[in-house]
Amino acid sequence: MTRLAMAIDLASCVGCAACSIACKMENEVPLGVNRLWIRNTTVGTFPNLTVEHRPEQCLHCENPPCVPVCPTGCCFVRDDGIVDIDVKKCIGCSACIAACPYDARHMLPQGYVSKCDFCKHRVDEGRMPACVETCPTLCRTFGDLDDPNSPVSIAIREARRVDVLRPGLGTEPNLYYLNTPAAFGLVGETGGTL
Amino acid sequence: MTEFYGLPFSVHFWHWPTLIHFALVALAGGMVLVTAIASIKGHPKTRTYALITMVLIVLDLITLWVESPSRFRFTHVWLFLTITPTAPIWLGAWGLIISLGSSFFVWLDKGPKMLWNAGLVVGAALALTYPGLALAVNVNRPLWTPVLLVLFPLTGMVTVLGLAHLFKQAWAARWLVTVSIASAVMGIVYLFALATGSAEARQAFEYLWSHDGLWLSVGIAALLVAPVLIRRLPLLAGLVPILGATLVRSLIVEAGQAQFFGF
Repeated sequence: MTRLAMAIDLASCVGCAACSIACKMENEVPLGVNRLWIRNTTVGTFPNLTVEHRPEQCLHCENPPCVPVCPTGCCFVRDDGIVDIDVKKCIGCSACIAACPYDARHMLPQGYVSKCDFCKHRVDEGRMPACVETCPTLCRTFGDLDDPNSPVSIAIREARRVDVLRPGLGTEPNLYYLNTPAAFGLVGETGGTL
Repeated sequence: MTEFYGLPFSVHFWHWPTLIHFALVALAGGMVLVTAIASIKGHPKTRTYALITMVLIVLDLITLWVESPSRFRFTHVWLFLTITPTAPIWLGAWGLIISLGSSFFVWLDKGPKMLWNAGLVVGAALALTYPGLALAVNVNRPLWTPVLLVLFPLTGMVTVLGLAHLFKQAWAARWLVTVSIASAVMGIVYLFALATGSAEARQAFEYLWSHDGLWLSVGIAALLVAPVLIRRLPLLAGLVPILGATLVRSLIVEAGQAQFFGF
């Protein structure tokens, strides 16, 4: 079975935001909202300093909290693991926005909810999501987690360290952060210093 | 120091019309329960209560329609064409519709009364509990705790009992005192549980207290003064708990939208 996932190597990410811009262009995301944004955090105190450039977006969770709270069934998980929205059924109640622990969903002026869908229109054609294709440092990898030879499986296997956001919530995200600049992991998850 | 390129979704996704809905659904849900009890007991004013229930539900449904960003897409029909019992909003939608239908037939005074009474009891249970449930299921938002599963039905009943007391319904005074005090106690339990909870709960409590602490205290105090006012100032004894309950509910809905993830 296909289980699509993405990995972002934070040791390679320079925070250029090319992925964010590519996403905006590809998916015609309106001004004021984002499917993909970059969180830049300085960690440590001089002279022991580093910066974490962390792109964030929908994590396409294995246990997505946004799906069971949707009253019309418009939020669903595709067979390939993409958490998707059937906009024809969306009533704009924002229950899924409330349920998302990652602030990954937003309301569109048209009256329905939107978010990252791993560029499903491209994935269905066998292409990579726009953010993956655009990244100039090749820090993003995408593919099938159940295929041990897929780029994402190899990247995760070879990473020095693998983290996910808010693991305590049990959402089991399918977006992995590799090789965090700080030794303690992702900023804001466990706290700590360099 | 944290900076963003492009911001995630803003803190507030529910705005003031949603707060009106939370106030109206409290009144509507409470009134359904009053109608159910009146109908079961054969109270002489049952038909009047059923009519008031229908008016409140229709007002609430209109508010929901007005506040919906998809009001002209007419997608709300999917609420009734899908089966999603894990979604509190779906349960609430059915609760209100069942209550509306049952109230209508009770008002008509036709058909199997047992069935309409059962509909009112089920509808009241759903309409009173779903607002608190819709908040409490979001474990990622630390201000929306399981305490709301009790606090919201209680404050909902306070608003209806206050209204009944204002309209000089003799049975309302005793229940208003009891439910107001119970609501105030649950309000204090809610704050205490946050203040003594996990690190995230304590952070949420500090946020709530620094933003809305004064008004939340006023709301809880208003629930506590109903017993004092009930004999001396009957008009205020009805009005003050309604305002207190509505204030407490609104502040929790409004402030609870914050989650403290990485900010």
